[in-house]
Amino acid sequence: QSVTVSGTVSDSNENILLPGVSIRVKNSSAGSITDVNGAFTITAPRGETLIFSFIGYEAQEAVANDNVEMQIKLNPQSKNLNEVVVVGYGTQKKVSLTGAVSSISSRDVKNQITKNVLEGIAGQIAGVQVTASTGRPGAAPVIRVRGSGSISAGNEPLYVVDGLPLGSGSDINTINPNDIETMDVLKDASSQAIYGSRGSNGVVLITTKKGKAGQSKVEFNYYTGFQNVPKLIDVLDRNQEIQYWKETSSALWAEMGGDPNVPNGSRVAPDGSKKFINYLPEYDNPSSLPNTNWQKEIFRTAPTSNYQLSVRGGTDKLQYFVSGNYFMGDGVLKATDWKRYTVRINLDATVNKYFRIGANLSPSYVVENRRWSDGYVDSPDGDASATMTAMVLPSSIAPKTPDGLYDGTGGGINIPYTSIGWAGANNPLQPLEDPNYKFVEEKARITGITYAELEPVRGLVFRTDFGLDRIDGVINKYRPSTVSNYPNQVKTRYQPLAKAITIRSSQQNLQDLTFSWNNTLTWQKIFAEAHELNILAGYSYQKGINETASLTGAAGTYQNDAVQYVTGAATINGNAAKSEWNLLSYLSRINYSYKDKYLLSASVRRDGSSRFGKNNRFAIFPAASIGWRVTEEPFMKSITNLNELKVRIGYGKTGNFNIGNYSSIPQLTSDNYNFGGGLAVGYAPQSLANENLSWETNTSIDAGFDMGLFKNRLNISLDIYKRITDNLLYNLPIPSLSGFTSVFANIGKIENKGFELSLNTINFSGKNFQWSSSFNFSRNRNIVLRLGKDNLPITSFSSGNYSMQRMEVGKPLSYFYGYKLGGIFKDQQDVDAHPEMRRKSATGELLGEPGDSKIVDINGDGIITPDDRTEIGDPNPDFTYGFTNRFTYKAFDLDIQIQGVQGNDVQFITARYIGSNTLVWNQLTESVLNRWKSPSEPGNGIYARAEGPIAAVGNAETQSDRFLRNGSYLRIRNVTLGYNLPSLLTKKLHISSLRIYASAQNLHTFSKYIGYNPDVSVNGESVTLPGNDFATYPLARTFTFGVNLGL
Amino acid sequence: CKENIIDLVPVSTPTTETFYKTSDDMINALNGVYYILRTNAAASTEFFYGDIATDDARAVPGYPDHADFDNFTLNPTATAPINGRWNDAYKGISRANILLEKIEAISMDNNLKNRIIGETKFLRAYYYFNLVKVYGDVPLILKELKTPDEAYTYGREPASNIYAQVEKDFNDAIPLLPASYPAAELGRATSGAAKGMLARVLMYEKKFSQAAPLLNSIISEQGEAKYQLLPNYADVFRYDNGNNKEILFAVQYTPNAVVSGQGSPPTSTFGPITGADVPLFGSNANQPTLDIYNAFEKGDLRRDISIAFTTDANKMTYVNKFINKSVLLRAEDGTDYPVLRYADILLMYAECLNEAGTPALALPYINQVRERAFGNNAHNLQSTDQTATSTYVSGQADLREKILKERRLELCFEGLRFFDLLRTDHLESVLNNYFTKNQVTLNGAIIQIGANNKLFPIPQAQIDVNPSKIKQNPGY
Repeated sequence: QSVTVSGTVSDSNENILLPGVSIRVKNSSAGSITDVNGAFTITAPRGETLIFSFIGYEAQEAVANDNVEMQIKLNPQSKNLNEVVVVGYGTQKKVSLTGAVSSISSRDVKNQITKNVLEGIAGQIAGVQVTASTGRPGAAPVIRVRGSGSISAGNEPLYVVDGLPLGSGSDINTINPNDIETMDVLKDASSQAIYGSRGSNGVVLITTKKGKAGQSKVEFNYYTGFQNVPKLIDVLDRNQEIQYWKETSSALWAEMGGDPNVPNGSRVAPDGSKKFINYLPEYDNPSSLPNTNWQKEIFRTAPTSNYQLSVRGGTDKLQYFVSGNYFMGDGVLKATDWKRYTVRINLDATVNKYFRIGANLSPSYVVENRRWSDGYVDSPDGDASATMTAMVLPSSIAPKTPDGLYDGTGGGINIPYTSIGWAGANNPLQPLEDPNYKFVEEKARITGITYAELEPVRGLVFRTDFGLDRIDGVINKYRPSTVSNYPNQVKTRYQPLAKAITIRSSQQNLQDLTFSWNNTLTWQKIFAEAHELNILAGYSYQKGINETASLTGAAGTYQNDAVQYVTGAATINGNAAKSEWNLLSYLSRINYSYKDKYLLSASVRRDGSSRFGKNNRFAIFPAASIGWRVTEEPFMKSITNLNELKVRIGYGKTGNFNIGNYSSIPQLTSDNYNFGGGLAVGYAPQSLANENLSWETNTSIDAGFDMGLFKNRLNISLDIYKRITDNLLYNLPIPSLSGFTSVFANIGKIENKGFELSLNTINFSGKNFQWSSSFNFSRNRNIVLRLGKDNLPITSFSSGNYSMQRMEVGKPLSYFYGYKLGGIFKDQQDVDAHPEMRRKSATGELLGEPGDSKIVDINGDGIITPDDRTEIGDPNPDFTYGFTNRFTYKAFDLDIQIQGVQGNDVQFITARYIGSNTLVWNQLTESVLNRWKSPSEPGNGIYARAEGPIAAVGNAETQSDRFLRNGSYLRIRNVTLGYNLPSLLTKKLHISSLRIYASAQNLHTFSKYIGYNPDVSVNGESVTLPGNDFATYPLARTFTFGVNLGL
Repeated sequence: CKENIIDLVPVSTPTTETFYKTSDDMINALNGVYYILRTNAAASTEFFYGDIATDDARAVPGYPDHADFDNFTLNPTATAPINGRWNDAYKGISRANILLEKIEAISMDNNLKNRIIGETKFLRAYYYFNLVKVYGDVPLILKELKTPDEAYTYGREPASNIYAQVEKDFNDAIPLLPASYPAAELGRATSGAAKGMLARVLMYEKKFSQAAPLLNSIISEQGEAKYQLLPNYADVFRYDNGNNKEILFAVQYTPNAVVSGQGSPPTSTFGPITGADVPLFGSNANQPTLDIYNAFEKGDLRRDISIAFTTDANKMTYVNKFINKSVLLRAEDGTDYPVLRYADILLMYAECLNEAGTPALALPYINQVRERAFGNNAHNLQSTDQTATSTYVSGQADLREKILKERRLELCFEGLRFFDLLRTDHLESVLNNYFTKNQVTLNGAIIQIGANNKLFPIPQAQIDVNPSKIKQNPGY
């Protein structure tokens, strides 16, 4: 016999009504949920127990009786006493945690419009910096946990998904962020050490959603929207460009001593050349020429949408979570897009009292249509790289000819045409618009882990799990005959290309298999209701196999576009590689707590890795941490406003084994030659052997406290840490007279230290209006302590030598190194007054004239030499922060997330080309308009005079601070406004909940930075050359509209 | 699992532990030493030093490295070929040193072993020569370095010691090398090449009397190994005429379609950028000056074979003699890059005879070259008719100048001009005259060079890595 009961649920302290509380009938699958007014109605067998549960509150039970208007008051959990955090090879109660672990739940990221799990946590966790190094749709962001501890062994954290450690360098994009329940980041060595030689860059433990008994729930989430480029780089438009050419060609003519009365077109240099001192006759009639904004030509407003359908539920014996997801996002660069299809099945079954089994299986497939962008105008394939090309092309060239052909049929654009200057670029629109151009990356992945748990006696659990991560990737490229390339382009306008010679096609295959087999024994016991003990011992074996193969059609052996695949070539060349690694580990840990007051955790792991030198195959990674929950002491009970205070300190050792396979074994490289027209296979050593090669060792100490105040309405966590990486792996430059320019060796020591602060506050919680905030702040400083032999600095050069970055003892990692510029020589008097700021030619003559850059004589010896190069910038930020505010008003909710980085320098390499004030490419408006023109028009003192094709020595000094810019920014990362349909309506619609929302991602970035966005790196993860922006694909701004539907 | 499961060895690449065991391994190792010929150690940058840095050629705009050589603004840090030559030449030397050490223990056919040793020493000598002529004093390493630490112990050795070693290696190589090879092995070092290269080295040291007999023995060679001038100058360089009778040694290339990865850069390096009737455009590196164009006498067929002009309004010059007009793709060019050819042997021999005080004996040798250049003997040099001013040789000093000029024209764009000027003590006078005469300026001032420009800078990276042992050349 059933009764229908109704009532309200409120907070026992605040008396505020709680929406979304779930009500379940015991021993039944029936359930309901409170509406926005905290009201509920449920039908249940008379006398049956109802269970009220709500996140953050202790569950409460009540009996269903006739006609009683229930008033249920839920008690907030005292600082989520039972909240559990995932740690390595197990879980731990959050209150008894002694390491530095940060967690983030699906609730924290649900509003973010993110393609991958990392974007969601950007700006949300102190000490974890997530940077979008490029806006390319399929690119994963760069993540750093507590700074960079490695130069060349990688700084990517270890990802562990439901207990399965993924292979290093694994593509985090293939994991569907909508499936994730929690992410726990192990930040200090005391928590990481259980992962031994894979732990030192931090460990991200990803836990996917699981089914719950009795709670069948169908959810459908959908959003759709569009993305655009928030900002374009300001380059000369047609009229500015023409004026600049005219002024500069006349200035060059005058500089040559030419007669100003000689008309344009008739000026001839002493060497007979007419270049640069004449301009195109068309320039006298600017309006006859087009005015193209090339950036607008290559970019577009791009749609994005996401579909997620999930079902979760189960019985006491079997719980399930099944989801399907489809994400699509077109890139803001034409022709680029990225799609992901994923399915997940998580099953957990209780066979009997002693035995549990389960499996998590997730197949996924991602496909990305790519086009070359980022970096120089010519892509590695020889055709146009879109972003840079769009900036360098003159505005006075039309994207297409009047007949609809790309300028210079075949795409070669000569700048600005043949008779005057020199520089060529391909038309960037060709690869973007040609329907036959292909650059497709596909990746299919299956990650799966199965486990069995045996609990013969209560508290003693033996667990074995076997997991497998298989990635199959293929990259197919095809460049049709209709798209031109360098160097085969014909650079004269309208001159047709010889067909077929530009066709290129290749196919690259990548197969990666990682498997892990873990066996652990956990024993948990409470003695005398005071001593809680948790002991773990385990054994683990991991293996990785990587195979790559690539096929390339020999250029010139394609006949036509009939077969748009590598087999279109008559001759196909190929190569392949295979490598493997093994890791054998023994691990153990003990956690002890006395009355939840005194806490201790200690662990040790022994790893043996195939990657290290014969003499160093095994190592031991120990760790220990202690905590004291001060508020559990009797004398603290009187302080009513202090609800929680835990102090903790931890120490541990971890390793970084990401040095590539076989690095310690000297391998041969093949350098072939030919005799009599036949192949002569050649081999030579690739490297010097280093049998002592070892892992990098991280030793870190962390001290912190967690505090809850005012009934836990204010939570504060503070950590200070110091992390020292020793035996740093690096390709150490050695005298190249050895035959090798470098040797892979353990050479140095880096220190990262800093502090992290997290604040979580409930600012206001009224009946209709709630406001909560979370704020985090991190500061990390790194400093090099030791380097190689004799502590000599190590210098790295970016492509084209446009920037030099250095590692030097006592300095932050990879600081920018070069000449400091001291303004511009205003006039001859200024030149004469500062001989020490002028360079000398090899013949000893002083260079530099009015309008040229002054170079600061750093060492004061009266002459500019390479010794005057110095530290000119630091790519490492002073601090990073995130600030999220959540507002709820009745049925509305509003989230505003802000994230920022302060105090880092970014090298705008793009400007080395378009800010050089030469007559080669189109130029930045800023550099041209502010340039030195004459002593009476000296510009802003930063930009030198305009010159011909090559800038004078000082002005062409690329390794200088001229294009070093402050990369600080504050970004409104996300704003979401949502509305929950009232329960009256949802009931009518026979649905359990419906939320609609509108969201803006990357809404605005406040920054003085000149490029698209400051948080970029053309070198991706690189630690030696970070902070370089070279025409990097811009980060998109996304506007979406979505619904969350619960059934 | 047993703990030894973590002992893994490379699957898809050979290791040094399994290599250097058989005679085939030694041949593969030797091919790896030959490969270095294509790098900055030789072919790929020889024209920077030999041609761009002289009155023969200019840099193409847009390539700062080229401009550095053109304008003598060589920068130890930024000028990439400076770094490349050091690294690549020592890479070749290291490969040679390892081979010479390993081969001792290999049991193999003795003739083949000797030949391999001869070829290896030939290449090592050539790489050291390319170092010493560019940098002056350089470190001298003659054994395999097994640890990085050993590399730090080497400082710069006096150039004379390097020259002595170069002479020794070539001398060692001569008896070990065959005079000729079967067709399938063409391109390997011959005894003739070793003699000729040794003669070149000796002449850089002004040891003319020692060079002369070597050159004479090449000239008087008979049979299979007889070298000769081809009747047509253009045929010497033709892409489909590699290793012809005039070539003593050349860096080998073969079109990609024939042997994958063996395509050649000459056409694409020297070809015009635009505006010419060639199907493949190049970088127009090594842009010929009008100064050399105008230096050719009327009727000299070599001028238009060597230099061409673009057909567009710019009328830009480009090096024509290596251009393969039949290829559409860079990699499909198989044109070899000459290192030593018979015309050079004749001119060197003429020079040696002239330096020996017998200019009259020298004339027939230089005239062989001139006769081919003009297609007749009307322009042959002579010492009898004073009225024929263009051909009259008044004596040793006059012939010295005429030989230098003949070398400039005959061997143009083959990377020799700078060093010919240098070894004949003409560098400063000739180049400074040229700069003045042609108003070659940098930042408004006419470029002038000094004594320091006889050497190029040591790569800054090598100084940075071992500052106590490696010091910079003066003036940089």
